[in-house]
Amino acid sequence: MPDSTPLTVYKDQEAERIRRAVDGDLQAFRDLVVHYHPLAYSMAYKVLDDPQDAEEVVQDAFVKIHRALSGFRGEASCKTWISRIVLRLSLNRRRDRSRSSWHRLGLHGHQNPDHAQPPITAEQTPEAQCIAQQTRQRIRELVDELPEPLRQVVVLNSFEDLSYEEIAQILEIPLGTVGSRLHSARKKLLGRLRRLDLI
Amino acid sequence: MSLLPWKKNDHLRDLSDYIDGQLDSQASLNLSEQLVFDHQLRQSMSDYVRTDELVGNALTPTSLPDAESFANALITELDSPETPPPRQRRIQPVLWASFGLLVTAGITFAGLKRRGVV
Repeated sequence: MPDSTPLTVYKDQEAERIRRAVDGDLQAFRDLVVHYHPLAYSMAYKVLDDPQDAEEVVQDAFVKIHRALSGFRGEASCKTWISRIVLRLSLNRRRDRSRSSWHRLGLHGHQNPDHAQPPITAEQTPEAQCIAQQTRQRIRELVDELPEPLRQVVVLNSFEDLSYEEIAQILEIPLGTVGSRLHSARKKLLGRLRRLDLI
Repeated sequence: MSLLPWKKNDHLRDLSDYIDGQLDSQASLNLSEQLVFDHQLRQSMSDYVRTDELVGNALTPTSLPDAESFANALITELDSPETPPPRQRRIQPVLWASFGLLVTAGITFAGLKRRGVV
């Protein structure tokens, strides 16, 4: 039976797009950027919790990806390869940032007035918005307090379209480790959320 | 509820995999059956799912920048011919030393000539 599912067609299209991008076709590279930008930006944002830092990291990442395209051998999927680059750059930025006194003093969240403000809905009173914002911030802090290996799997698992296999490839860890880290992370987070009466 | 305490941890680990759809079909079926009868396990699953929801909402950006504009700006940048950074002209120390020696030699020569030595 011929395998002509939409997924296969999509994969063929992507393979073709990557091949053209590797050959130096800027339009194909542009299409690749448009396709993977939401994933890359969300990943950087989830690690950094700062829109400006996330945008800068994504920009650096795609410049690096463009330079490294000729070396892309297709051993990993393009999504995994791009995710790995973005995650590594985001973690580097996070590490550098944690050394700066500005961040050590906890002032980084106040640089941008729009920082992490959820969209205002008509149903929410200002008080409810304020509580929601505080809750969100507290949960982010709980995630940040997790040991780095657990935090990374939590961030990656929050993407619905990343499978355990892809997470394992991005982090270069065995598949079973993804499951055990996620389980540990969930247990820790649940315990802390209960202590804060959020669950 | 499971009567064996060491089994409870196994179930919780399985529960984590079950939520992510990582159990094989037989294990998944077994756990589904267990969930029907085990109230505490059901509660644990509900708590795990709620944890995931809260964490997911807290991490997710509230808005995404426009991918098209980003890609256009990036391509323009990549397409423009690379201009090498201007090289700063820096006089090397050895040139300064040579110049100093030359000046000293000139002054010495002029002094000697004025005294009629050369």
